[in-house]
Amino acid sequence: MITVKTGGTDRELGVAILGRRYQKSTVTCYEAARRVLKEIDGWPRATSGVQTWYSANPYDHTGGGFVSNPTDMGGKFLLNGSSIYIDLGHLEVCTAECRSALDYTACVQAMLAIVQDAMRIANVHLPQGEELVVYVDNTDRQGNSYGSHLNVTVSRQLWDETFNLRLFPNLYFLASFQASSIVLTGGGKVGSEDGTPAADFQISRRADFIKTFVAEQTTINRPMVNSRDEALGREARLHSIFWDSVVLPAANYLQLGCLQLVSVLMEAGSEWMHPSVILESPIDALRTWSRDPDLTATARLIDGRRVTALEHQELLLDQIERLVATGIIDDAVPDAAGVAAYWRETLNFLINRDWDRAARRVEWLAKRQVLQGAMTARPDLDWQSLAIRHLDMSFGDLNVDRGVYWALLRNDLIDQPVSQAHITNFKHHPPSDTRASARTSLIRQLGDSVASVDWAEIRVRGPKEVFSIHLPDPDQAGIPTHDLAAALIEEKARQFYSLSPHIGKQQETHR
Amino acid sequence: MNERIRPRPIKPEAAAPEGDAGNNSDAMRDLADRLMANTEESLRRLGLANANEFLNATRQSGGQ
Repeated sequence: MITVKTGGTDRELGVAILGRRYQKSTVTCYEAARRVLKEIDGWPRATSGVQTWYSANPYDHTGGGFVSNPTDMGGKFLLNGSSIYIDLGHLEVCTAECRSALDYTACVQAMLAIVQDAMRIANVHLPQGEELVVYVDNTDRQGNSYGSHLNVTVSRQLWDETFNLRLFPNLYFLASFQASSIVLTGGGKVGSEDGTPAADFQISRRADFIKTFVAEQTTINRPMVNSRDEALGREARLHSIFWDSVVLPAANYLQLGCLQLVSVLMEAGSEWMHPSVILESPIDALRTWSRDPDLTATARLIDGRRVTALEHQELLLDQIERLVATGIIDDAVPDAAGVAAYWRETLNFLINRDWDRAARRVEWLAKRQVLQGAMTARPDLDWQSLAIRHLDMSFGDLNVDRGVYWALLRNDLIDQPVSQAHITNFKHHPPSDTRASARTSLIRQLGDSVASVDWAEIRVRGPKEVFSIHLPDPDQAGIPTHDLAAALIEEKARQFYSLSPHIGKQQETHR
Repeated sequence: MNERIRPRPIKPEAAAPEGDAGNNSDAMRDLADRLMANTEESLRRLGLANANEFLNATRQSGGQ
């Protein structure tokens, strides 16, 4: 069964307060995240678990607060359908549910713009000599990684076959695709981490931290394929923790677009998905290819043949294009042909060594060109130089005066698959064709009656008690009118009092 | 079996990334020079003059 491929990201951002000398950075990052979060208006996200008092440090300027748990602190939902909160000391942003990879790309850029605005305001309140910074990145280059997860709706049947029955070749197919996809969607970094062999430059920021093949955990021994089963609708949700947190719009477009196409290929079944592209060891291939910016290293397929990452992507894309050409997935992936064509074109730029065109779309290559340019201009610098390491980290710095990405943007050195109007729209409005639209519509209509919001429900303060309105599936907009919302409230209130008189007053959070 | 797969021929003018310097690369190099001056000034202003100070200031807690 082929299902609609609704997608989105939950993405941790690096945060720090530079210039503060009396605190460890692992402490100031909590404060930095809280300061940015404070400047973003939203409706409270539903909380769960035990409430505990939290205070980062004795010098904390913003004070502590009651929080539910360290992975979902201070959560808010925004009117553009997105969510933002603090997760393990990082500011975490989640885009609204998106049907198309283009909408997703615009949503990511919109969320970064919102955080950027909040960061500027937060900096005004810091003492002179201190600066709050936010990085679109995955690591501190010191062995600490934070995630950029992609989520795509998949059928419950595919989920069960993949993760419960472990039917061949699903897991191996997905892992193999991810391993070679880094040549298109990797973010690039200087050096190596976490006990892995030395490298001047790597294509993937995340590769050093992928330790096992499939598992549920996300903070230690991170898996190539994450098996967390946390559906937010009737169908299952593939939660992929593999990806680099890229800022280049084309790289974001390819990340979701390619994953949508690969997951729909898996749903299409063995008639379309051929195991000829399965790697003997996807993790070994990932490590090899990440350390191969010349794109010549090979990895072994299960049939013994050896391929480069580019050749592997070609083999996989051949399968995708055969499926796309039938038109049977047009409803599942909007503009599937457009995504596949962009994938093919970008791949050809790399195959033909057209580095200039490729660097407009491929983040690791853009970063490598800038770093090599810096070392050419300044022969005293090398890959170990502090200035090069800082420039590496500055690529995704949201400070427009220092962030390399923003300089590339100003100098027209990157491709922008979405318009500025598209991005600006998603700063204020959700995609109109997903559940995000229904959620925002209800929030707007219910206003201060909203007690808390979550992906699949809104809790509303009724006449006496708090009750829930359940939202539609992720691919359904189901925009309720004012009358419908009012009716829902009355109906739910009646149901609540007639069917659930024993339920006590629910925990409320406040904006 | 250790056969190499060549689904499509790679164009003969292919060169290693480091050796190629097209217009985009020239622009990137000019930009990198300016960015480098900017980044060094930024490091000085924040008092992060050496590697240890920079690393200490930007260390993150482990995430997901």
